[in-house]
Amino acid sequence: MELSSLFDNLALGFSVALTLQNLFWCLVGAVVGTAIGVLPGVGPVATMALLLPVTYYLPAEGALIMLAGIYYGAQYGGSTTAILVNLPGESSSVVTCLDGYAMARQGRAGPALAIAAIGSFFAGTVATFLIAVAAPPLTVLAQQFAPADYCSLMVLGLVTAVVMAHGSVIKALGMIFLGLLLGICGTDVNTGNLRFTFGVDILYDGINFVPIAMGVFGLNEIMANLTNKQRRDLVSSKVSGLMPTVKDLKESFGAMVRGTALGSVLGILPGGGAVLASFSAYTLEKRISKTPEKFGTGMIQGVAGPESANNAAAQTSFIPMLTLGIPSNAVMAMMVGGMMIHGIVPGPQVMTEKPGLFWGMIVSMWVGNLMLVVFNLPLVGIWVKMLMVPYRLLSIAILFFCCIGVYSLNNSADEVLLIAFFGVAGYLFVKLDCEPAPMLLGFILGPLMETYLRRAMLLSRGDPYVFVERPLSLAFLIIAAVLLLMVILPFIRRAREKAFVEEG
Amino acid sequence: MNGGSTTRAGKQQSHDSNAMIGADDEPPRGIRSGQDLLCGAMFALIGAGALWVGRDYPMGTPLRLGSGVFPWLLSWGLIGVGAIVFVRGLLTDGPRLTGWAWRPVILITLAAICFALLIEPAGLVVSMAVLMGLGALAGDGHRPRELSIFLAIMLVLGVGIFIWGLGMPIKVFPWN
Repeated sequence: MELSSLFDNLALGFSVALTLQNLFWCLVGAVVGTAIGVLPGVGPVATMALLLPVTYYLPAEGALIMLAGIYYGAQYGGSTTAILVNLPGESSSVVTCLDGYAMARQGRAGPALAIAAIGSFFAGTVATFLIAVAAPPLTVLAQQFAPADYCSLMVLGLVTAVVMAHGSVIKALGMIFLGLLLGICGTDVNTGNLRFTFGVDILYDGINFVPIAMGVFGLNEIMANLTNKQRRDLVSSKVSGLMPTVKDLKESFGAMVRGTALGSVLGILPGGGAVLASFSAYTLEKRISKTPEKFGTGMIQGVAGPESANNAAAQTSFIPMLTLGIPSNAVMAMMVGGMMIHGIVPGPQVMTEKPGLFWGMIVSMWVGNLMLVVFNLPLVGIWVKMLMVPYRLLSIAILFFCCIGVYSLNNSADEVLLIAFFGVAGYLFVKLDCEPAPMLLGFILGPLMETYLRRAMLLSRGDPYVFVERPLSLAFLIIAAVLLLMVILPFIRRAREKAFVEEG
Repeated sequence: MNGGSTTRAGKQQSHDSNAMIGADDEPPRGIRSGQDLLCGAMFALIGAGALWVGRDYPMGTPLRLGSGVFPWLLSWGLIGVGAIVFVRGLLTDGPRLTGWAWRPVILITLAAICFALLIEPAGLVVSMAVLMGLGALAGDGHRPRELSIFLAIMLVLGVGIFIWGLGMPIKVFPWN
């Protein structure tokens, strides 16, 4: 792409992102994101689900800018808790605990926090730029996709989500089927037939996305957390000497670059995202270090690498969603939900039809990252105080916001009953070691996939071989098959399990 | 993934057990995986149920797929996955079922149901009070003073944000 159009696009983005209103929503998103990132037991998916009804009242730009802010804000906040309390605020900060908390115990909490923030900002800047560069050509490519290609691409996306899922592959596959089935409940848009409505009125329009997400991620998390006793050993020594030394910066620069590169790649892959990125970055740093045995004792690379990686991945995971309209993880599914509330169908046409929204959102990510790095370090004290709110009280507040949030969406008490149902279902899934995230992905993709399947068959005059005759579609299917085969073959599966255990 | 930050402990446990299966150095103990059995049964039953419910959905023609095709494919997929997981639960050792935390599960669910039933007839304040009261019972270690101050703040916030702020068309009190 020409450089000048890149700058034109970014200029358009800045003109949208820097309006007072959008700056405000960006700040709200980033701060709320940091807050929930700090609090263990409240994840970005649940929070975004919680705030989806609120975004109904905002303009589309503001809504999406805020939702995006929650996600990358959470990556910042999660590291704060990890470093100070040895408790990952987000699952993407699990590995930050290892060396971050060790640094804090040595009285180097300040530099650890600063490096985490600087690394995140560096990664955020690179990733924003990457989105701006990669999105237009991908969009052009996506516009040439035929329905069959789209259908196969979704298969590939879902298979990758299965492969990347922690835990059992086959159960993740089951959850995807379940999600796809839930997704097509209600009136079939093509034929007008009712499916799986059981004669219940509220199911005629299909199951709403918000009650499912809130039940499975919000209510379920409360149930699970109230049973897990949490320990919080706050570092007693004061956070002093915030600035890292030149030596710290020198030592962590390489790790930031590597973490950013790794995170950017893993973020784009479907099913990837921030968690996988931070784990992989830590493993990478340990492997290439000259002193791998020192990891876990306060190596600054062990903070810089994963923290850069999770932020980079959080941002690049927007790429498939923005260009192809295919969410790559549960958070992106939530973004798609946010878009649909505003009547925007995610896909390649967003960039051409709503360039202001598209570029404004991308630029707002960089603006938000800047806000975070400027505000966060001075605000560490407040975040630490927030950790003092006991979960037994927090859970009550979350419960209330879940219920009222769902109710306010359509003023429908029946939908509150739905979250009760999905809360219990979510708890059952966790007990059976089934991750709910692939289900949500399937739920979003279900209707889309069916539509493209039908269109593909119509265009091919009923010939199912269209899926293997179009080269692009064939390529997607082959990659999907190879990936699936890889996790099923015992040799590779063992290596994968080993990798996950090492990470955990 | 990203949303499940809280189920961390549970996940790590299961990782460990998966790792043990992978390593093959666990001698068979005669205890098969109850978790897999139940999980497989759940998938297969949902799949079979969907197949049955959707038995009359029109299949259409290859050119114009009817509304029954996609559900049919998915139902069989789910049954297949369920069967594999079930058989795995019969044949290989795996994690056992762990006990349910009945109290939070029942109380949180009940709280949401009560809220749904009360919000329109009884208004926000009553439904919030019931919701939060049941929610409080689900947790441990409450201090009466702390809890009552917290609940009062929440009530004010709730009415403030949702009635005055967002102007939601619901009653505040039952007699409004």
